[in-house]
Amino acid sequence: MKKITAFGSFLGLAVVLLWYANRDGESARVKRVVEEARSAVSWDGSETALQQIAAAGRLAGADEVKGAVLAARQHIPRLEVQFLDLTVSFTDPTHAKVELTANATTDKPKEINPQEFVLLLHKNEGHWYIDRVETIRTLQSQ
Amino acid sequence: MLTVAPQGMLTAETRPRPPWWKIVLVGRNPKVTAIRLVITVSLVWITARYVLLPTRVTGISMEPTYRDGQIGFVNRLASWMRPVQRGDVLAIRMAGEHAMLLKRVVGLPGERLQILRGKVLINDAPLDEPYVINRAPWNIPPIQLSEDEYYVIGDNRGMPQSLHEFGRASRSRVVGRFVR
Repeated sequence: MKKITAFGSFLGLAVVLLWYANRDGESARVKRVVEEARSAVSWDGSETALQQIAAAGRLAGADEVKGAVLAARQHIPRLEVQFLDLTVSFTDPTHAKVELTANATTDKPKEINPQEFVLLLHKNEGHWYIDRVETIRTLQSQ
Repeated sequence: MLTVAPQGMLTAETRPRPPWWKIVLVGRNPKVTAIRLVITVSLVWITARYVLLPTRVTGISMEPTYRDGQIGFVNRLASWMRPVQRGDVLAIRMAGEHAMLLKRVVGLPGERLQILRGKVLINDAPLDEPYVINRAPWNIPPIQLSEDEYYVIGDNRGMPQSLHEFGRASRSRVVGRFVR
């Protein structure tokens, strides 16, 4: 009886650990996609037009986001984006929600515009893609 | 009184004094110094993380009270010690606490607020704001604050309304009071 209890406990612990490790792995994968997005929306102005298109193409997800990034690249000579306080939550195994604060610095040294965002991602054939990017207003003016 | 030490043992009187550099580095009693160091580091860490968050002001929205680059602290316990009052400068969290908005409370929960040609009206009465130097003609239609909201604005009212982030902040977003 003791052996069965010990085996059961061991099995339960192993299942919990596996579930946790897998969940943590998914979270890391989502964070990697977000980090790729961050690097695609940061540039230093020394890239050629082809490099700009390739960088925007690294964004895994919505075409309108890629388009907006590409357009912004042509107008702003340098943009460095930092993602702060990034938290990942899963609504189900194939859908994730990422909350973060984006902090952008441009050529003007004092211009820092933090903005809250929510990124909605979905998983397709083992890969995570950004479905939608929503801006969150920290303060409601009306 | 004379004490006789057993052979091979050193009493306090007979123990050789460590060199001065050793005393400077680790103190007379290294064990006590280590314990003091651990306690001090822990206290500083706990204070900086959970009580007084070191914060650097960036941007111009709180000028002239707080200027770009100034260092201060966000006191997390301040709102526990006394409720938030009008005129307090609060740190409002965004997705987390690595980037926060620094704003002054002008409207309290349950109040009706309006901004008319740059003048803040609380329950139809003009608010005295000695910290505001320049006033651009901002306009905000009357707003009724819920029991869970503050209305916060920066002190720099000379800047265009569209460039200034201000408005209702829910109580849950308040991290603490800003102190210099």
